[in-house]
Amino acid sequence: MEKSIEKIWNEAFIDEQSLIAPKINNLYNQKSKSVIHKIKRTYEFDNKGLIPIAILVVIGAAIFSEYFIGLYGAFLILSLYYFNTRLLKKFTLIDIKSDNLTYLKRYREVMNSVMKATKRMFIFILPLAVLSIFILAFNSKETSFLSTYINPDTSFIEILGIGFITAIITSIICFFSYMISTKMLYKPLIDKLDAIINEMETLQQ
Amino acid sequence: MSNDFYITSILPHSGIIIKICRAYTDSEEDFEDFYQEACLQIWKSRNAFQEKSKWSTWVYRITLNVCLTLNKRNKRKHVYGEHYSELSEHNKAFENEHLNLLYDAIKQLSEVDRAIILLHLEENPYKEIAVIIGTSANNIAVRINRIKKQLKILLDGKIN
Repeated sequence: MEKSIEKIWNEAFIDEQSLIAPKINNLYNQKSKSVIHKIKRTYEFDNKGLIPIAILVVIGAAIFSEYFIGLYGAFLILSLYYFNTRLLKKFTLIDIKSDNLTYLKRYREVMNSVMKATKRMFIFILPLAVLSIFILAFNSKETSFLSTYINPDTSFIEILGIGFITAIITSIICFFSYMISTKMLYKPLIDKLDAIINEMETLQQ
Repeated sequence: MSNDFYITSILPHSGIIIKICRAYTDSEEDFEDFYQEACLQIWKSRNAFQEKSKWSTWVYRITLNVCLTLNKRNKRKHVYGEHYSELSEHNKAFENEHLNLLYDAIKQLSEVDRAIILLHLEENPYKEIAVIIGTSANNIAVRINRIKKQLKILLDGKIN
């Protein structure tokens, strides 16, 4: 190599002013796409994870000969999957033709409403589902594995009471599970999305 | 970012930003992303600039940090787009065959060595490079010698 690297460099950039800088436009396009893509993927992963859980519930219940309760549990989980899928459809209603900032703000609003709905479901609907399993177990106590834990003399009211207490405990557990899972899965993405929205708003000022 | 800030504070240094971003990217798309992110970070950090160093040093530092960060992120994703064939359409300087060979060789260096040699090629004194990289001027001198030897080996026989 005869030419020094300095010479190659200086000769190539002899007229530095001729270097054309890329246009500063759609500054946040790539960033927005990336964060929205991650959020979508996380929601889908989170929701689709319910399907194997439903299958496991059926298999698990079958092992204990609790076919009916197993199927009912799977039905509840699949209902949850259906409910979530319908909620996630809200994202597809956002006008993709709107400008970047409007789109992101709308996306954030939809995320908030989805999260609120999910929270309500975790705290109220899931404990009710647990309560309904107790009622089902009581009604099929003759054939149920759970019957070993239910005294034949236990009245419906007593079962309802136990189920109610369990539902409250479930509600508390569900609340914390919701908080922890949201923090672990969605918080970093939400923070990123909020940061982009803030930056874009500042840039517009 | 205001247009005024871009025109007065970034555009005069766009040459070095382009050169650095070029050394850390493999495609036109990445290049534009890196450039834009560097400009944005320079703008966002403008209040942190304390005039202890030159504004150009500040620009180098921010651009290098952006390139190193984005490069790590890109590596994790293993996303590499199309090659740099189209960049020459925008910048005649990158049509230079020797320069492209030099860039290819520079890209084979470690990320920090890449930064050091770019700053050296831009005729920054060792002391200033040391401040940007966060080491001593002596260390920079030794490393530059070593990097140049490495580049010579990589380019040997390719450039007459």
